[in-house]
Amino acid sequence: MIEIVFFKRHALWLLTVALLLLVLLAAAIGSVYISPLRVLEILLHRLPEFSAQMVPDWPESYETIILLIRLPRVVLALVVGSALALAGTIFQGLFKNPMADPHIIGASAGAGLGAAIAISLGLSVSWKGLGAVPLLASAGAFLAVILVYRLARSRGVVPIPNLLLAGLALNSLLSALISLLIYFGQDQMHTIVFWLMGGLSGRYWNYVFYTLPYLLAGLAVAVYYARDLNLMLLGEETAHNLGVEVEKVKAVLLLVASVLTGAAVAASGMIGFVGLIVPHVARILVGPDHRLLVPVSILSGAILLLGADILARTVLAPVELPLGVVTALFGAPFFIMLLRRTGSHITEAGD
Amino acid sequence: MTVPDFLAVRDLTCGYAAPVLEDLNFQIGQGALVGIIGPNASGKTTLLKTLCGLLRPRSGLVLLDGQILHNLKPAIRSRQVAVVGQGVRIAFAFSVAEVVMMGRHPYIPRMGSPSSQDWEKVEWAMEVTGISHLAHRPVSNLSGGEQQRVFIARALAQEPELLLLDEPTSFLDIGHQVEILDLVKQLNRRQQIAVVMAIHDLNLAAQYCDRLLLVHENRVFAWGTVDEVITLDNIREVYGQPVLIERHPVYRCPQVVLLSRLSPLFDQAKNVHIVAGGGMGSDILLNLGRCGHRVSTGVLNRGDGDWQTAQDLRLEIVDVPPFAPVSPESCRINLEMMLRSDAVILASVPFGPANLPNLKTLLAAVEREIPVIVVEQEPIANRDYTGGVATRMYRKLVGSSLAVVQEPEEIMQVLGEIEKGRSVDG
Repeated sequence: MIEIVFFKRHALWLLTVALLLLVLLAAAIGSVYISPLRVLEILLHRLPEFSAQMVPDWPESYETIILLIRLPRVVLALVVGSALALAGTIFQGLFKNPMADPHIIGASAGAGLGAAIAISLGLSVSWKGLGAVPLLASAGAFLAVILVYRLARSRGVVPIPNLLLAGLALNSLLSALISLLIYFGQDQMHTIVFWLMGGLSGRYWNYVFYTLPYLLAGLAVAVYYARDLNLMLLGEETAHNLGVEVEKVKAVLLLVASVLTGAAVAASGMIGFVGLIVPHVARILVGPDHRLLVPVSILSGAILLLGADILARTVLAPVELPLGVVTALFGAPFFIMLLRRTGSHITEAGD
Repeated sequence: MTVPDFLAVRDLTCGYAAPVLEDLNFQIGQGALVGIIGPNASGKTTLLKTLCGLLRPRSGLVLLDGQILHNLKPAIRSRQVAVVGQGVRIAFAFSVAEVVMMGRHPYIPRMGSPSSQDWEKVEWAMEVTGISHLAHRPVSNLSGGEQQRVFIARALAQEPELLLLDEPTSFLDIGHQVEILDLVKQLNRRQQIAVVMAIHDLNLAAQYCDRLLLVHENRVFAWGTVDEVITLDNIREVYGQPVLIERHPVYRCPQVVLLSRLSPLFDQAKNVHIVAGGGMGSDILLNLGRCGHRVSTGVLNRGDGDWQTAQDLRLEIVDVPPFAPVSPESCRINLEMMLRSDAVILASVPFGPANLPNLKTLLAAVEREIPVIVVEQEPIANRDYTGGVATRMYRKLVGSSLAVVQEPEEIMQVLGEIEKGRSVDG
């Protein structure tokens, strides 16, 4: 109990410090090892305040490796992890359902179909095309979420079994449609398959620039509506009676969570379970208040995905594992454990 | 200052795709405590959802303090109307204080944090509802009664003028039921908060509410004081259930006592008129009334023991002022009542000059072939204060009566043998 109170009070800066250390580590590891301290020096050297006092004593190629190859990948991992965790937090809050996750409810698959359509239309080539992928992915995610919500909702609540079944059905349908696209889209087949497996390799700064605005916008909206989201946890009717404009808040937040999912999927393919695990653990650590839960989830999501990416790069180095596979290896057992633990509640929620 | 039509419902039809309640019209004063009663699925919850602004009326208006409730901005509305829902459970581990603070949501600016005034209100609400000691406990770990208190505290933190409760006592045991309703009543009286609650327990409704709204078959079946609404006819009609209406021995409010439908008495309910007086008829009145017979009585002096019993049972009574003699007019009504009856019963009443006319009326009824049952717990000689006049008439009556019984219990048996609807004018 005391530890939890301590963590609740200091969560934000503890997580920030952990995140920064992990960033240095992630940038250090690779085919050429560059020590984390050296990475720090290279990074600080780019800041005008420090560059005057520092004399670079490292090969210029190090700078290229860190700044142009490793750092964009690291930052993208942070952005994608944060976006998925935030989307999961919002979905769980809106559905009052701790099992909601972009992957499970079909939002990721919807985004996947949207992105696959964009890629097979050849929109991925140009700069503008890259913008079109997250846009179509977001639209796909939003449509999928609306559909699942309609299917799973019964008498004003979204019971866990309904949500899981509706998500299962939609996921099957969407993956069939994606397969169909791959089958007929001969030229882009390789691109789509490679991208679908989920990963961050070969992603440079342009991906970051196209994904980051979505995350920042989503974060702003989530913080703006954090208190409303708290009230929504007590049920839509209660929220209404306490002065929340339920339908508006719900529509805005569903859209935001879908867009976050779409942006994340467009950048890195289908990476599951981040949105399930992170809000859950964050809630255990800091409680259900979204004013704290949202920033904690974002930091934790960044840490989780960056950690997973480090594993993906190192476990079988020099062979790289697909990132989506790594998160699934951790996420699926977690999901099963959660299902067993809440098993007794499921029947209650279903009646 | 109290506003008589603080909450006014005008031609309201509410429901979803199909109307659930139609053409509702009623108004509630500030500080009133109103219960909505009615069978399951009669629309109690739908009405509450409409009164709190959750459901838009299909037609008609809800006026709160003269303003159209459904046009109020959510933040404004939720400063005036608070709701405690039915069977709400919180699965997330918010602390009690956090949940109560949610009641301040309409007062706290967006992106702002609670002011010291907000904290004071929260502390006050927790104190009034007796949950201050639970402030830091997670609400998901509390018992049903404690959670209900938390929700009432949250509603209070909204500083509402109107508090709506949906079945606040369902799922609670009797101790907690009374605790919660006592709390609601206290808040209603001390804070002058108007309360409207849906409540299916008729006895608790009668005990705690000032006025009741009985809804049935999409309509308001009855609207008025507890005594006007909780009547034998209303309850039997709406619930289709044989009941007795008794008085609460302490609070004197009506209470509903349920009877088994297996009991044969209800097919055999009869119109019975009882000539009582001096307290000698009370047992008979009570027994026959309880068994579901439609009982009338007279002529009685107001204030007489039997008159009091009949009054409590809400029987039809012909009466005259205290100590006044039975008047010719009251005799006429008395005879009318007897002629309407399947049987007339004469209790073991003492006779004096003042009530002698009752005996005359009885003789007139016998002549019209109304069965009369005479109860003789005491020989007539011992209760004749008319110098023999009463005794002579009594003998004549006994001669043409259906039966003479010694004990009131025997009446039932005799009554059971009488065919129903035998009276002259049906």
